[in-house]
Amino acid sequence: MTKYVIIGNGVSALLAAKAIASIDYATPIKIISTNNHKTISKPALSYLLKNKLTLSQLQRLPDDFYVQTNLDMINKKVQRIDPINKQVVFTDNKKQAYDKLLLAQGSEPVIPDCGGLEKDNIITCHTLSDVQKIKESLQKITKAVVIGAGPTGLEIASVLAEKKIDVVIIEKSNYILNSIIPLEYMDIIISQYRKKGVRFILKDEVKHCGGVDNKATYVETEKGARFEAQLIILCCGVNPKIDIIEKTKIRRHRGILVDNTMKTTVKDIWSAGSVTELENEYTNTRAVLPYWNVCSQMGTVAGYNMAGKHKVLELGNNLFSCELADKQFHLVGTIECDDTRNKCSVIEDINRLEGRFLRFVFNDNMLVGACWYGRGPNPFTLKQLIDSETIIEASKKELLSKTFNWEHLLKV
Amino acid sequence: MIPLSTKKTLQIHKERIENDKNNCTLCHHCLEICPASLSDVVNMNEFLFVLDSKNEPRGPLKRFILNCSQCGLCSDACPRGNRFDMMVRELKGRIREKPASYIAGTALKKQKLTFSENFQCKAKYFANKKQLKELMKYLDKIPPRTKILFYAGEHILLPTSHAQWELVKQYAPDAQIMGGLKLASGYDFLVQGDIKRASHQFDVLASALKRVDPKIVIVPSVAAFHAMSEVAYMHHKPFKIMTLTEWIQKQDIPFGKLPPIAIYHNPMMMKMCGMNLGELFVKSTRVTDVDKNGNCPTMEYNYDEDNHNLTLRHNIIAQAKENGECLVVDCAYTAEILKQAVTKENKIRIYDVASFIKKHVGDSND
Repeated sequence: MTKYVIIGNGVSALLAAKAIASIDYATPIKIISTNNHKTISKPALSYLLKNKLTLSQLQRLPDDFYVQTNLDMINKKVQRIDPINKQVVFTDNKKQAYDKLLLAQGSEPVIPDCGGLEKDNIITCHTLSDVQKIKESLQKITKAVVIGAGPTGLEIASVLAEKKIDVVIIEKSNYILNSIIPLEYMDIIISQYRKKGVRFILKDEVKHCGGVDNKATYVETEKGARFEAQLIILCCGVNPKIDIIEKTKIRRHRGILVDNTMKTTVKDIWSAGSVTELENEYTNTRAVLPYWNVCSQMGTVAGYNMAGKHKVLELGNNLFSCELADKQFHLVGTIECDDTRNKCSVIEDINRLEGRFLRFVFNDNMLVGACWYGRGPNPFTLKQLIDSETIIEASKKELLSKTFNWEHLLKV
Repeated sequence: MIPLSTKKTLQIHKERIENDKNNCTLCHHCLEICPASLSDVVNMNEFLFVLDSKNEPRGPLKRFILNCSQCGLCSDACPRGNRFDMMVRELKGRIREKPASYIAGTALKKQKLTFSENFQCKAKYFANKKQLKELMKYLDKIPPRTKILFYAGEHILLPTSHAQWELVKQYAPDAQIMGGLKLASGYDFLVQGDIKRASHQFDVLASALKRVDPKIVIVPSVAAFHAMSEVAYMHHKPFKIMTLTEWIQKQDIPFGKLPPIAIYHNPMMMKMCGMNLGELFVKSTRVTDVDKNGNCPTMEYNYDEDNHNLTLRHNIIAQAKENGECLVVDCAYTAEILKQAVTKENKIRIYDVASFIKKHVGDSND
């Protein structure tokens, strides 16, 4: 009987277990994690803060699944893995043997390099316990600082603003959302946040978090500004947790490098989720993609391949979605228009009054990318059109109209 | 015109559902906005689990799925653009047992029956005796190799269809009429997501067309257009499909002077043929296009709460009353639906395009 061991308790780990169980249902699967709760949806954690959802609604798979499959949850911390003896070594020096191993330990939040971060009310926003801590303190505070203007930082700021908390976002670069959108669009999103009372401090870094005893009361920036805060949330992005494979021959760069079946360079070890670095054949770039939908797909593909069913990861063009100030933001493909290419054209519709924008980028009648904030077409339909390199012959007016039927183009 | 292929639709549905399962972040926005009863009881993880397992849904989930009217609110609410309605369709399809007509159709292939017998055998599973009799009456009359065919679709028994047929006959004496049964357009099943059943309906329609072999098919309604384009695509029929409005425009009928009218152009028809009803009459009178928002008063995804589009219909009629003497509509079924919404307060004459021409042009010509 094959011994399947999975490190991690995220969505990729769970869906890998599910894929293995669908083929090899008699074999017990061991899931090693420091979390003692069942796998939950991380993108939906903000709804837990808003009291819109309960914890049971966030659970990715129902309790039935845990009962039916032979899942064995081990609540321990992994120190390292030993591919030569095929063992996982825990911090208490106990060992767990494996035949097939999946590394899905996920990522850890980036902690900025500044003083005074060890205080109690300075929280990262990454796990369920973090979110529960934030939730507990929401009733007591009136002022908060969010460090980092990525998708998580923006989302948490919107939740805090809804609770009538005075929020300041500090971002070290000149952009929000990791500079994925052009400057003129950025203003529209920022103005939506400003309407909610959120303040933005761009191009400035946190120098020091000061306070009394174990409690931070203010944040000081490099440029000398000082903001009072009863809660400081660190949302500076994530880094893959690759410390446990340091002494192995598993190839890694920022994350663990894999082929399109999620196999690592070492025999019988696979990797999935936000610890993995993927190569995008469309853009010829390598990147860690800590997105829910990508991690789900990676987990499923890894699980099938571990159980002996060949499956290849087909991501296609990037699709990024998030909710910013109660409006949807989507980005598909490449939205930069290279001026050197004559055939490249942009169709855009910017409405600052309503706070929305829509941008399509064409390369010689072929849609190569799009992004929109507020109302727009269905993101997956557009992704399919971009992936299949469909030629679109429609006027600007038609493309921007509300009733344009994108799905019809797919069926040609 | 882009015909819809069942095979391709199936493929697109499959890809879509596979993606949406992974893409769902369990935010429950879809279930929050869902007007169907029991939506508050269903948990998204249970839903995805059943969807993934290829099992038939049971208990409250099954009842919730049966309550779904495919209004599409869930898809608009999803922050990730997932098509929850499509996932529900998939599960809905699993609940149904295989239709008797499907099994019968497979068995019939082995027997050597005449065209008429074969068609009757297949069609009797979704038509009552009266409908069948009516259909066979038309079918038997059609000679093989007809050049122009007027396909009245599911509305062959409506008076509107007869008015349209008379107009077609007036300008094309060689034309023949054929009607489908209510369900032979397959549209109802496609909307419900029961593609297998719809596909069988298209097979029946295709077998009828095999003998007729038309060059041009004229369609007066969205459902008929849909059914014909499906058959043309699936069975590689070389015929040309024209909406009635499009066909009338080709005839160059001298309209003379007409009273000012309001038109309501069904957005689905517009999408399919790319021609606006207004273009037909714009030289002869003042034409006002009412409800340009692209809402369709017959489509179920536009249902407002409990009213089944009644507000939308009343709006169209009210706007028409302000802007013209009568309201002219292109789709036969839309005309019928709008006529039902006319009350004493907002009384206005509603014509489908053929009746309008017959009434005004016919009189003036005489």
